[in-house]
Amino acid sequence: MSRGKDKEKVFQIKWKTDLPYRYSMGKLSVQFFKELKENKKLHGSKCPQCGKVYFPPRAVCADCMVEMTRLIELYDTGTLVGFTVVNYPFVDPQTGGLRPFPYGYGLFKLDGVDTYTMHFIDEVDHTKLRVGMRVKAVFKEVREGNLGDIPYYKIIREKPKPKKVEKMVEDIEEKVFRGRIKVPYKHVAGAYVEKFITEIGKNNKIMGVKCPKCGKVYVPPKMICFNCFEKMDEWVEVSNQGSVKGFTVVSHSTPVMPLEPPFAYALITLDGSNTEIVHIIKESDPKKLKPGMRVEAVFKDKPRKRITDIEYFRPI
Amino acid sequence: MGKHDVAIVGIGQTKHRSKRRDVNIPEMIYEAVRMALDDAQLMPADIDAVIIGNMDHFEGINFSEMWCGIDAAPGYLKPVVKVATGGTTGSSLAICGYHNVASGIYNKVLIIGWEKLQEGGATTGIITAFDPVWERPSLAGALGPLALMASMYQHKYGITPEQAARVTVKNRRNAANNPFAHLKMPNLTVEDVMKSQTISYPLRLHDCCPQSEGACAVIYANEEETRNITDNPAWIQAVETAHYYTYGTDEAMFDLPTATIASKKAYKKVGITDPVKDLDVAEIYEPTSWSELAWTEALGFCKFGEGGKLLDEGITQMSGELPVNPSGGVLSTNPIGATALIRVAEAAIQVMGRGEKRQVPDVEKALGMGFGGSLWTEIMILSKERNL
Repeated sequence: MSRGKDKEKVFQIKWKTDLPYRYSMGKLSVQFFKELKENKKLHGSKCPQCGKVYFPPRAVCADCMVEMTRLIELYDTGTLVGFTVVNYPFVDPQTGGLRPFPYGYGLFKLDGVDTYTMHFIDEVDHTKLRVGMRVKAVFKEVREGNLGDIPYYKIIREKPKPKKVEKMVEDIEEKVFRGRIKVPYKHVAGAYVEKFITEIGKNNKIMGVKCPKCGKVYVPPKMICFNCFEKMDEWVEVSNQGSVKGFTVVSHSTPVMPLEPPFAYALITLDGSNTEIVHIIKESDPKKLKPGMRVEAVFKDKPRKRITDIEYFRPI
Repeated sequence: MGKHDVAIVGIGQTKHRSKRRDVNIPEMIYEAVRMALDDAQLMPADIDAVIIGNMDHFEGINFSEMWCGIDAAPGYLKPVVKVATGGTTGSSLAICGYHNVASGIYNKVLIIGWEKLQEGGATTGIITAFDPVWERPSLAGALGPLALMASMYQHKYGITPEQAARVTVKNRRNAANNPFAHLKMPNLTVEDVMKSQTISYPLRLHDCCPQSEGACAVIYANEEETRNITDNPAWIQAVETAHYYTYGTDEAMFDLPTATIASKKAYKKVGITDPVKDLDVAEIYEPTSWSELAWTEALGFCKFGEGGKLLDEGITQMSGELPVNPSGGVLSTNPIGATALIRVAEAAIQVMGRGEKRQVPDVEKALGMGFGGSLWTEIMILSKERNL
């Protein structure tokens, strides 16, 4: 496939998800990060039934389906069982930007632990890494109580060590991990949406498509009549005037609102169309809106290839 | 097995590519759905329910079943259900559809898997599927962990990068015979693979699956409906699922115990004692060249550590005793939510004898495998005969 062909004009909508979230870590993780921050110590959880030691610590032993309430203090050393050097670009959803690469990335077993774990290793030359090498956690001087307090594991030359004694989890406060998911997207709108938006912007015309079977006219247009499951190819121009089927008046403010409240938006059926579109109503006292009232589209002077190229509807 | 026997009676898929900029998501899905309906010669009204799946964060859209199940599939005023289980999404869809028909709830069900990976990104999307506290900081999508797997596998069994490279060569040459495949490379050589850039040691670029855009649709029917639809169905004889621990790296992963467990159960149901002899073809979910070698071991096609030998002896080649991935496999085509459903669809195509240039002669039994999630495996065994 030629790159030139790919670059031909395609109507895409670009946006970036930026979702903040609060994730309840669970009491064993809270205790783990408290110990990490205050005492530079690592802990795993131990199953009271089978004795298996898990790292990262967690509340349930999957083998026994038994709750684990004991943390066991671990050594900060382990053995490398697999490794790679990540050498490809990708967007890190934690930041929305590219994650720096290359980086060393290892799978290892901490001493006395029965599960494997993965983390950064401070080596980006894979020829210097071998399965069986010993690793040791490196701690930040100023710690915040998250996994970033261990920026990486380093290669060392110490022998494995035996298990340490176990202890109960103390009562601890609830704690959430605050993170974000930031991801960029490009959404291909498709030929139907492109024609619809282009006609609005260029010619101030509102176009729909007609089902060859049931005759229903869809505005906005789409490829398939969901009722008949027929592909629609016949374009029809509909009026820029229509009737309000239902409406609401938004009176509270949130950061995602397109306008300052109060404002109204309505379900509008354009003359010549059998479907409703949702849009904003302006130039009207919200108290005077009623179903059945007639409205017309007001087009934007400088179209931007968005549905908001119909800026709003106003009463007529 | 269920109250009803279940067969695949219609198959559709798009021509998978790296970018489908000519269509939006429902328009792309519609192509596969239309093809499946035409294949089964069914009307939209004949479909009782729609089961659809993809991974939300890959495209940044949630609740796609609402509009893709109606605008792209005959789901209007019918049950439309979404399934999302990571890499196994397609095989989970296939198994979910099987249960819906085998149980007698529905007579005919349409299954759709799809992904449009250039709209977002698989690596980024995959990271959001993992634990925010413990795994997201260092996880590099799927390829990082798969590279760890390959390094362990290499260390334990002495598998060579050249042996892994031969898997890519086999699969991408097979893909040249598949009109729907994304990466068709009939002239690819081991040297080409070995010379490609190392993107996560020991994985080279050509050791890794692509990111594809595409959809796959499959229609299931019970025994009675199947009689009316086709005299050449693919009967489902066994479905098995095995899931694993919480974190992707809780266990060393290269020997994929879930594949061993799930396949053993499935073989027992169908009466398979020697999969290489008793199966005629396998479509397996190999995200990297190294994983095909390891998975053939886990599936019992050979002893552990002998995946490379199995390949070197030509057993998994098109002319071998058990051809693996005549379609070109995941190394050639990977629209993630559809990928594992394509394994099932391609296994059905082989059973029906409709594979044209990629057809293996005289297929009686075929295996389809899904892999993904936290080292999960799903298995489906299909046959030409209804009663084995």
